[in-house]
Amino acid sequence: MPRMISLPPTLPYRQSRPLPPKPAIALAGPYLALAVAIGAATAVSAALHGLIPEQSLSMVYLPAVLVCSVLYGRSLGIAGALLSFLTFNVLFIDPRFRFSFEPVSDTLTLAVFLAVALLTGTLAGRVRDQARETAARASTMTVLFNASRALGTSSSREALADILAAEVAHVAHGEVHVFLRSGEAIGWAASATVRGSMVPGADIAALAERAWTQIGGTQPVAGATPSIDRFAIHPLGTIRRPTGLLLCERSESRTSVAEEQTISILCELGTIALERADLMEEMTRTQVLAETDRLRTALLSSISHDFRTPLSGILATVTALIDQGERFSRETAAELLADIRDQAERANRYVANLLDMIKLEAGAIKVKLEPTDVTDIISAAARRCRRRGNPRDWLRAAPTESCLVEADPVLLEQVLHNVLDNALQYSVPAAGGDGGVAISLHASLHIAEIVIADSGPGIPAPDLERVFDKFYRVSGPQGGAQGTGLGLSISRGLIEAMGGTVQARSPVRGDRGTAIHICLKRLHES
Amino acid sequence: MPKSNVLIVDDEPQMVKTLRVSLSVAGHNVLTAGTAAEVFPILRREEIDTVILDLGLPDRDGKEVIADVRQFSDVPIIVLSARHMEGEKISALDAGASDYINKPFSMGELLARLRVALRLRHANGRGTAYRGHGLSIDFMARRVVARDREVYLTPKEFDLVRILAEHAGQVVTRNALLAALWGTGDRDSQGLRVLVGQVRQKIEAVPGSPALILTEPGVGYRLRAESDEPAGIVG
Repeated sequence: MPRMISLPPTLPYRQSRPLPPKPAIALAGPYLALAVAIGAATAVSAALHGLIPEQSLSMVYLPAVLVCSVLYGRSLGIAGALLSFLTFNVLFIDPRFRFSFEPVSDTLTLAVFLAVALLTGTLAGRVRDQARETAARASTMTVLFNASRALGTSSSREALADILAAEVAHVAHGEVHVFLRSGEAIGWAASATVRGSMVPGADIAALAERAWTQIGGTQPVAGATPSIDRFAIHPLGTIRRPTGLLLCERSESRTSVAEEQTISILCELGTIALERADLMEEMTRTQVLAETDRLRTALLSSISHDFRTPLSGILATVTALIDQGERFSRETAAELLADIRDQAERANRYVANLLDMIKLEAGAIKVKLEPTDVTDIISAAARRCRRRGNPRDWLRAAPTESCLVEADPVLLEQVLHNVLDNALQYSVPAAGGDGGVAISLHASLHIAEIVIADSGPGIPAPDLERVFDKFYRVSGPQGGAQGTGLGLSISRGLIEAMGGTVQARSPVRGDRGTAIHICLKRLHES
Repeated sequence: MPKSNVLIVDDEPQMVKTLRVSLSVAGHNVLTAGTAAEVFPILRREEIDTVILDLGLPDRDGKEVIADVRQFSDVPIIVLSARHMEGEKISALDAGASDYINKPFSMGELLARLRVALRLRHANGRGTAYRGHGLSIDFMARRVVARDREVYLTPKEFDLVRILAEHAGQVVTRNALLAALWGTGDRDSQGLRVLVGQVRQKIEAVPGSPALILTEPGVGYRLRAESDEPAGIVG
């Protein structure tokens, strides 16, 4: 929601730092200049004396009056006019060296001097005021611009409160405390002085709470800054609800109306930034919710497909055996029973995976790292995949050299089994020499890399990272894929818990195959 | 009766295998397809008597497959649906499927449905009567006898019974009944429920627990097949 901010008509001239006291020479400057100007005029007049009529010498003093008025304003101009008239009268008008007043000519001279001083002084003063105002406006703009830029760089409430406190402290030249709403109460968020951040005393917090109960819960009255003790209270209000309070120390000698206005604008800027931070936080929460929702939907569809499919198969086969059992041959019946076993194993695997996933997410899996021989674990995992047939028939290559890594042997076996099982599902038979699954091990000084490459159709590059997503399955008419879409996701969780990494690469050879690369910390025999 | 050709369309190898074995020993010739794309060449090439189609195919929506098959063939299609969504089944039936069966199913139930489909196909709509479970219906004479006693039905009640009897053993969707009886696919099926209730009062032994006109919740009604065996354990 864009909000219009009107700049105060007059702005604090002071910069962010208090100006040092002016030296005596600077204070005396105007009078010195006055003396110099009149002295110079007198010197010129003395030189011209006798060459031109005396009355005309008054013209020489006019520039002095003019200079004083232009440089230092009306009052010094008038002083200059009077002094010039006096000097001129005493020094050059007969009788000389004595004041005399000739009503007509002297009145005229004095009137001209005064008119010049007044007119020039007023005009010059106006120009000077304008210049000063412009400078002040520019400096306030700079303050506001810097504040707004600083507030724009962060979206955390704490950081925004810090920035706001610091910016207001620089304008107000006093202590500033920011309190932010949390729930129905209010809590301290940041404090600052011109010199930097600080921690407020308990009295400040009590003051804030008192102020909060006065305005809290209700809509803050726009522009109202009720003061308590030495602090001005600025509600950080939004239309929806007050977000917090800003306590700004009053320093009666310094705080001008313009500064008050600047502080109000800073408070508004801060409020907008805080409101934006709130909205972003809310948005993040919504996104998290949406993600949770997506996962829940995925979980439901996974259960309804992956869990019910084997159950449907089991029920169909069992009822076929019950209804038509006597008509099946011995071999057929045995085969059907084996199918039932496979389907039951599949359902069991699914439940196990689901439980692993839940345990992993709940942080209930304990990782016990110890020196582990990878080759040993690989062969154990391959043995467990025996129901896919004898490993000799599908395992094209496997490492034989032993290699020590830091891992939890039980969890590593689980990971390798999951990855192997997945690889087997997508692989063509090993018969041709290029099919099946190949496991290789690449050990460097500190890292051991296990690569499990299948001979499946491969995965398009954009989907490579997604295979580790929960319930992700390679789309398309592959058919026959019996995974749960959980195996690789669990594997990554377990490997990362062991301090390793998992990545997928595709294709492996030609345009086919996917390889899962697992990196673990290598250990050496001591 | 010559062996009938049954085409099984399912992407689950285990399910296909079980169906193939069971249907074979039940005396059917079994053909299989794993994807929707394989269905059409087989239907054009072979004399298929019934198709058993899984709605959850990997390459295409089952409803579209049914609609496309109906473009050139009136072969009975029995839909297997793992989805417990009535909408799916109704769409499949409205697209032209003959019957459906929920997964998980018992093999006995599937075989019974298959027999009904095959019998209706061979009768080819030329049936003139229904006889079974103490109920007999003469379509031409518009005569209905229930438990040896003639019952008098209003014309609309008789039409309802006749439509169900013509598809005895198969589900008839509410939409189909509404269209046939009232000429509209009226969304309000209140009238239909009342009509079914009236018919049940006249023909069922215990109208409160009907044994002849069975409700398929959310989908429609089914008149029991003239001769059916116990449907098995899973429904």
